[in-house]
Parts: sequence; C-alpha cells; structure tokens
Amino acid sequence: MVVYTSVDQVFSEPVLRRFERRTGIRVRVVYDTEETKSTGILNRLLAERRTPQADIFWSGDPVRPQVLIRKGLVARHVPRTARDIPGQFRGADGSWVGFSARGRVILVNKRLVGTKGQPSSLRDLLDPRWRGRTAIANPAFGTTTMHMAALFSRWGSLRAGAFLAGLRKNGVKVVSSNGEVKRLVQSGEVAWGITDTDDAAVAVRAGAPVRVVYPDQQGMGMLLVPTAAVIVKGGPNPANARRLLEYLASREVEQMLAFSPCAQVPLRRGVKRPLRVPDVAGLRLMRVDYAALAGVMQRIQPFLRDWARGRPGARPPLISASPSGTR
Amino acid sequence: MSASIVLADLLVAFGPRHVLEVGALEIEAGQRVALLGPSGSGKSTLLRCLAGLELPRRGEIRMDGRLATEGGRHKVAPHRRGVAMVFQDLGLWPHMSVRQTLRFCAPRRALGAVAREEAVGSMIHRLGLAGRERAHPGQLSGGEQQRLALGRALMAQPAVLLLDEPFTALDLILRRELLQMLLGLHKDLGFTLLHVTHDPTEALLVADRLLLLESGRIVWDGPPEGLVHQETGLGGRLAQALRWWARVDWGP
Amino acid sequence: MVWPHLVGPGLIGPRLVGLLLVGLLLVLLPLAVLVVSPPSPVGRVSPVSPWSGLTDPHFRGLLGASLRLAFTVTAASLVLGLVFGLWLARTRSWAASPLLVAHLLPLCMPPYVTALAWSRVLGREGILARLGGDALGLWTSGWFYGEAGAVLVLTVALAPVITLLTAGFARRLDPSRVEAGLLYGGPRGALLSVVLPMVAPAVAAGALLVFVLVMGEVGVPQLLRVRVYAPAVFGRLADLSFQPGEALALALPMVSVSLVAAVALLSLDVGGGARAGESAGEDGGAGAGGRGLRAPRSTRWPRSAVLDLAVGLVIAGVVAAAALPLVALLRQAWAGAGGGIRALQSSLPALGNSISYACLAASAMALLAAPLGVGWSWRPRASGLLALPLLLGLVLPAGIFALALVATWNRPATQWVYGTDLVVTLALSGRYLYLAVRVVKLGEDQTPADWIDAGRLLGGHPLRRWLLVDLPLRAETLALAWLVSFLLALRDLDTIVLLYPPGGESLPVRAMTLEANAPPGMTAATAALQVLITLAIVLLAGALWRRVGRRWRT
Repeated sequence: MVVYTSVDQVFSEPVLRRFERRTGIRVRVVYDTEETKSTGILNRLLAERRTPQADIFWSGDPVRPQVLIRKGLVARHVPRTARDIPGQFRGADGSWVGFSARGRVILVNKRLVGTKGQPSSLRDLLDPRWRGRTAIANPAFGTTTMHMAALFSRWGSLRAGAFLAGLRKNGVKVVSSNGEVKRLVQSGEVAWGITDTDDAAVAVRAGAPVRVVYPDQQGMGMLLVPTAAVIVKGGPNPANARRLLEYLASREVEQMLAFSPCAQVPLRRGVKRPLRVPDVAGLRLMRVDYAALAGVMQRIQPFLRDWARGRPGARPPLISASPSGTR
Repeated sequence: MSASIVLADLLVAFGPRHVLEVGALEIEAGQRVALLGPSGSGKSTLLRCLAGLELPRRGEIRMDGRLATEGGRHKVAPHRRGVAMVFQDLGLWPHMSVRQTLRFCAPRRALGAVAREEAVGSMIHRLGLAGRERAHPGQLSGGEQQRLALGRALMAQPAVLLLDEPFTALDLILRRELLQMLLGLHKDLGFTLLHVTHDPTEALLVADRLLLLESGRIVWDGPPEGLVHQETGLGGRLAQALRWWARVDWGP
Repeated sequence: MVWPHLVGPGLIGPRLVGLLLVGLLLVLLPLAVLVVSPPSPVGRVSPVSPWSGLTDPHFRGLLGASLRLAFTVTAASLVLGLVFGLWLARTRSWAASPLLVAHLLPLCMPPYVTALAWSRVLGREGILARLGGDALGLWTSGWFYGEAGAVLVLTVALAPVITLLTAGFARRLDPSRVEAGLLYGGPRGALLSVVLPMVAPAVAAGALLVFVLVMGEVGVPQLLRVRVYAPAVFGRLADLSFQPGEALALALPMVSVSLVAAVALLSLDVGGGARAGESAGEDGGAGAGGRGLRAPRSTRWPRSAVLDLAVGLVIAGVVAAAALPLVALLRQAWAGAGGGIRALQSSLPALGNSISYACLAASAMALLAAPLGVGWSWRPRASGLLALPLLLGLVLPAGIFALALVATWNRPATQWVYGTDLVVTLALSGRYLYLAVRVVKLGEDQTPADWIDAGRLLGGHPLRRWLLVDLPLRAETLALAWLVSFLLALRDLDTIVLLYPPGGESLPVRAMTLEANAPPGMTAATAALQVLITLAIVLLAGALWRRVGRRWRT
C-alpha cells in the first residue's frame, strides 16, 4: 500500500515500519519535509485526483486533509481505535482522525529570562519590555499560519489584524521557520519566541539553556496541532488503508510518538509518556474547529504573505470572532 | 584492374559560390593524372566527387562506363565504385591497429579467409610495416602513417586510386621513397591514378597527364612535358618556377 | 536510390525530425496538457496576468534578486573556472588529476547536498564554530545563511562547468598559435589577446549555462533562506497556496530570461562550425585537418606572477572547498547520535533507487542522444532551432515540469508509465536530454570528417561499416554522454522529488526529507554517502576516459 506523509520522515518512518512488521503489509512511502513543504505532497494528491496513487495521507497538521475533504477526495471510515480521542480532534463522519499533536509553546532562554516575570501569553509579544527580543516564524508558512488562523477565528479580523500590526511595531523578529526560532532562542539572540513542541523538545534534549512555557493557561489556552490521517478515495488498497488508519489512531502510536524525539502530545488521557511531554488533562487548550480552520487559513493567507513582506496598508479579510472568543 | 572516368557538365557549388565546373573530361583506364593548382582551385572537390563523397549540383560521372552520378544524385554508393582514396589528413581510424585496418579493407568476396590473411601479410611487408602490425595509428611515425594510409587504399584493390596531397608534409627523402613505392604499385596493379598536388615536380615525376585547375576550372590539359613550353597563364607561371628551381649548381 | 541517406552521417532528415519529435513528446506535450487541463487550485483562484511576474513589485524584486544572484555566481565562476581551467590546460603536475576530481565533485552532486555539507562547516554548530568558538560560528552562519552563502555554494557547484570548457578548449589550441602570441605579445599579450579570445566562445557558453542553472535553482536558496524568484514560483505550487495557473504565469519571465540566455548559447555553437561546408572543397586549407584528436604538444604557456598568484589562490580554494565540507560531513556522520553505520545502512535502499533511476535514465538518454547529436553536428543551424523544445525542458522550473508530467501520465491507461520508474526516466530525459545531445554533438564535431569518409569509401556494406567504424569511433563520445547523463540523474533533486514512485525515494530526496528534524548525524551520513558514491563514479569515469584517450592519442 501507499502512504503520503508530511510528518517528518525520522518520526513517521518507525511507525510505518512497525505496522509493516506487525501486519506483513508492505508500505511504500512518499515523504515531505515539514519545514519547506518542498515536495508538495498535497499538490501531488490534487494532481493525481483522477487516478489516485495513495491510500493514506498522514498529514503533520489537521488543515491540509480538510482541503482534500472539501474537494471530495476522501473516503470515510470511523476507526474503532479512535473512540477515546476527544471529538474536537476528529471528524464525526469519519472523514478524518487526529492524534499525536504538537503544541504551540513559548520557548525561553533560561540565561536571559528568570522564572519570575517570564512571558505567559501570546500577547506578551506586544509588551514593550521585550521590544526587539522575541521571534516568531513567518506566518505565511507551516504551523504558524494555522496559529494565526486560530487567532483570527477566535478574535475576529479586527483584533487579529491589530495584533499582527503590534508585532511589527514591537520589533518581533520574523524568521523562516520554527526551527530557526529555536536556534535563535538557544543561542540567546532573542530572549524568547513562539515555536512547536517538537522543536522545543530537540533543544531541551540537546541540553540547551531553554525552558518551555505553555502559553495562556489563564486565558484562551494553548493551541494543539494534531497530526491527522485520511483515507484517499479511490486509492488502490482500500482494505489496507482502513487497517493502517485503525493502527495510526491507536494508543500504541500515540505512545510511540510521545517517546520519539518529536515528543508529541497524546490527545487521549492516560497514554504513557515521558516527563517532558505534557499531559493534556492538566492543560488548558484552545477550543478550535479544525475543519473550519482550513477555510480561514486560505482566506488570510494572501494577507499574511503581504504582512510578512512588510507591505504596509494591507487589510485583513473580514472574519468575525467566534462566540467563545471573548478574550 | 583499372577503370576509365568520364565527366560531363559537372557543377559543384556551395551556396552561390561555384567551386568546380567541368565541361567535359575523359580519363583513360590506367592513366596517371596529376591535378595541379593553387589552394581553393577545386582539386580536392573533383576527387571527392569521383569518390561519391561530394554531390555535384548537376552533371554526370561515369566510371568504367557505368553511370555513377547523374543530375545531382548519386547512382552508385562510394564503397561500390571501386574507388579508394588517400586523404590529406590520412583519416586513419584510431581504434584499429595496422593489421586490423588492412584486414578491414581487404575485399571479402573475392578472397577467402586464408588468402585474405596472406594478402594482408604481403601488404604489411610491402609497406615496410613488418613488426608494427599491432600498433595503432597514434603509435606510428609520420612516414609509417602515410604508408599505412596508402596500403589501406590499395588493400581494397581499387580500379581508381585518388591521392589528395598525402605527401605534402613529408621530407624529400621520405617523399621519394613513397612516390617510388606508388609507381611500383601502379605498375603491378594498374589502377587509374588521380593525384592532387601543388608541387609541379611531383606532378612531372608521377603523371603521364597533367590537369591545371584555377578557380574551379580546368585551364590546361596535356602531357607533363608540355608544361615546360607554356608562356602565359598559370601554366606559364609554373613553367617559370620550374626553370628557376632547376638552376641548382651541382658544382664540378 | 536511397543509399546517400543510409550511409555516413546519413538519415540527417529523419534525425532532425527526431530531434523535434523527442522534444515535443518529452517537454511540449506535457506542458500543453498542463495548460489545457490544469489541476484545480486550492482555494480561490487568484487573478493573474502573464505579466504579474513583472508588474507586481514583490515579484519584480525577487526577479531582480534572482538576476543579481545569477550574475554574481556567473562572474565568480568565470574567475575561478578560467584561472583553474587555464592552469589545468598547461600543467603537467601530478596534482592536476586529483585536483580536478575534487573540483568536479560538487558539480556532480545535488547543489542542495553541497549546501548541506557547507552548513556543517559554516553553520552555527559547524566545524569552524567548534574550532574558533561560538562567536565565529555566529558570524560565519550569519553570512552563510544569506546571499553570500548561496553565491559560495552555487559557485562551488557550478564553476567546474567553466573549468571543464576552458581546459578542454585551451588544450586543443594549436600550440604554435600560442607560441606565436608569446613571441610577439609576451605572456600578458598571449594570454589576453590569443588564448582568451580563442577559448571565449566555449567559456561564454559555459557562463550562460551557469546563469540558467542558477536562475532555476530552488533547493539551495530555500535551504539558505535567500528570497529569489524560482522558489517563489515553486511556492505557488506548494500546498495550501497551490495555484498552478499563477505558477505558470509567474514562471514566464524566468523562463524567458533563461531562454534568451540559452538561445545566445546556441548562436555561439561551440566547437562546431558548419561541418557540411567545411569538408567542402577548400584545397589544402584548414579544412577538416585542424580537428584531429592530437595530443597537446608541450607548449610554453604564458606565465606571469599575477597569474601564478591567482592560480595558487584558486588551487587553495579548490582544496578547501573539497576537503572542508567532506571532513565536516564525515565527522558528523561518525559522531552522530544515530550511529554512522546504521544511518548508512538505512540509506542503502535509497542509494539503490538513485542508481537504478540514473542507469535507466542515462541509457535512455544516451540511446536518444546518439543519433540526434550526430545529426546536430552535421546540421548545426537547423538542429539548434529544432532542439528548442528540449532546451525548454532544461530551463523550465522543475515544479511546473513535474506537475505537467503528472497531469499527462497519471491516467488509468498510462499507469505502466506513471506507476513505474518509467515516469522518472521520462522526467529526467525531458530535463537533461538537451545536455546529453550537446555532449554527443561536441564529440561528433571532434571526429575528423576523414575518418568517416574513409569508412564510406572502404568500409563495405553500411551495416558492417556502422558496426566496425562508425560506432567504435563514437564509443568514447557515447560513453561520455552516458556518464554525463548518469551523473545529471544522480544529482537531480528538484525533478525526482515531485514524481518518485512511493517507496522509491532517491538519495538526495532522502537527504532533504531527513534534514527536517532528523539527528544531524543521520543527514550527514546520507549526504556523505552521496559524496562517496559520486566520487567513485567520477573516478571510474576518469579512468575510462584515460584508457580510451591513451589508446587513441598516444
């Protein structure tokens, strides 16, 4: 069977190999790179729509599968193994299932920032105290785009637009990737920045002088970005596709990925995990409709591109705040 | 074995430039013809037309009575014309040894395998290349290369042998050796010989008929001795030059 | 009778038609399919005009940045390649061969892998930082991740094009011409007024090729975070901003610039000259004679203190450019947490895929290039025009070309193409066949017409002659065309990455996908494997070349 995945090869390969060993089904894989999306798996899936080659698309985020779902390129299947995954993280109709998430966290340089007075919220990026000493990845790409989309749907375009303008005003460094944010914090070029849990975990494991802070625990909560899998409609091996989906959504895989160097956060309670991986039960999470997020992302992307280029006067598209978005 | 050659109304042109124009020319079988003329006069082109390597725009070429080229089309392929040629730069194939080269050119139908090896062996002897059978052209001296080129041409047992200034670059001694060898071979084998040169003495020594070419036309045609009596034109200038060269004082 | 068309350089007409047809099939057909029925975009179609690449100030800026990068790299490559090439042409030093191999290696590797290797030298955790402290690492990585780094990597990767052409042509110069120059003009005069003008067409062609390749490069600027045009076009094909129409429109200015450069390259027609006219009727003139494969006579080459200094610097640079990244890679590969051996083992299947793609593609390309290149040599002008579609394949952004191939071949009826390695072969051939054909053409140009003519006269039956004369005479060229194609396929990343059959990742693809978050040792081991394999093949090619050359030229 054939799997296309944009989950980094080092993390996804062992999972798929274990499935192979377990079932004897040969899995052939096309990998993508998370950072640059250079291989453009999504394009390949779209370009191949007339004669699909893939059985499963295992995405590093829940948004890209939504593009396929909207275009009707996905076969529905509710995995039995996914029943204990919270409903927020999967399609009730069996169109997609999310598991093993990354969190959007604050990474702090311990040498430059003490525990007292350390940033605790995304909005601290606007605090003049940190002027020119913080960093985020380019919001036109990757999980940062999704983060922005979550903010837009939570706050509405007026407030989100003002937030972005504030970032510019406060001299937040906009760098190419989350990995680069990690490198800057690690080397002390900035005091702190927003990055993903997997990048943070790499820095922590390497013994860098950094500390992870889960943001907005008193407010809107931390954004989780689950990996997500869908079955490609019309793929060559539908039966095997369902089997792999069951496997991917299992506790075993969540545990495996929690212990892997990417330190992904299990979405279920009670999955075994190392200490550095947070327990979702103890975290306040941002409430997000992941299916709707794809649409928001597409709408705000031109604006984000303009913003990243530093083009003044660009106006965000009109998106109204979600009812729960009071903060 | 030799063949007669008849040319009629031949025109070779590259674009608008007429390189060679021959109204009518007959060469008898077994004749030794020298073609003499300055650079660019069309000598080599004439040879290449006879070999079928160049396509004239119009006119016809008959070899041994057979129509070989007519009206801008070749009727007989180069390798079926019974023609061999020694190229100015020799054109020896770098990937073949002396023996391989000669064996490759020996006629296959006429000779059996044994007879062919014998013919190759005797040609190697005749060329003075014994002991050098396994050498490749790159390993041969200049004189050896010339002899191999000549041998390769003769191995094919041609009815017509075309020489395109192959000896120009050689010293006087080597040149004499090769010319003598050539005359000896001609006597034995009796091919028709066309020899392009721009050295009048060489022409006088080798040929029994002389063609002077200038700007793509034959300006004089006659026995070599006749050249000495020319007063005007290309022939006159050549005669003058020959007389000057002959003034060497050998002393008492 | 048909014979004139069957012998010698026969069948010229069909060859020319073939040149056009192959280009149409490999390049224009997929493009046409893409234009007629493009895959639907993600999200709303953003309105584009074919001119948006020029009118939109953002893209104009990127195009400017691309041109600047291409010019800088070309200029740097010219300096490096000319100095080193001229030195190679005249030297008799034993060091020449190893130096040349070291210099050629980056050309034979994916520039992305070269960039990866250099990041292990100049990056924040590179060997310079280890040796000179964090501050040094910070400083070097500061300029490495930027335009300067891109110039460094691409110059190292592409200057060998100029070196090869310079050395090749300078070696074939008639020594007496150079000596005459020395006699009348002194070393400087000989160099500036004799040698340089005579190698100029070849060098200019090399410079244009370098320019075109830099314009199309995606992987290196992406890795080094340099904002230029090609990755931006690519970005329109990436993922949520998937807009094939926009990508096509944006590609236009880039392709135009590259095509103009490439057409200029055509008009230079290096090493050729009208062959048909040349064998024609110049009695005793330069004619066919000047082009034999002769060994270069030992010549007194122009020397000067300035030139010697430049040569010294360039050689030091070449040594450093070869040694530093390799040492850095190997060091990291062995020290890596993943364990060098294990990483190497896990990369073996990818290596197998790479070699199998390259073998298939090289064989296909050599087979096609052989008749087409010979035809080109005999009809340079017509062929240059007819080869334009193939040229387009070379300068087209890889992303668009790959998309076109998917749109064309991914149908139920053509799964025997798309579902197999054949699609990779098609992609690589469409992209690089132009270069393979040029290699054959160059080789054919060097084959004295007398060799072929002698075969026509004395070779007997055309088939026999073809087997025993024509083919062996071109064996060297064909082997070279195969090897060049093989190396091009082995170093390809941009094309294969978008098309490779599932489970069939190549070595460069693996190096790239591993670079994201894999332990650095693992990526380094994969990259090191690529370096070592390339080195082995370059050495093999060199040995073969030498063997053939010795037999022919001694």
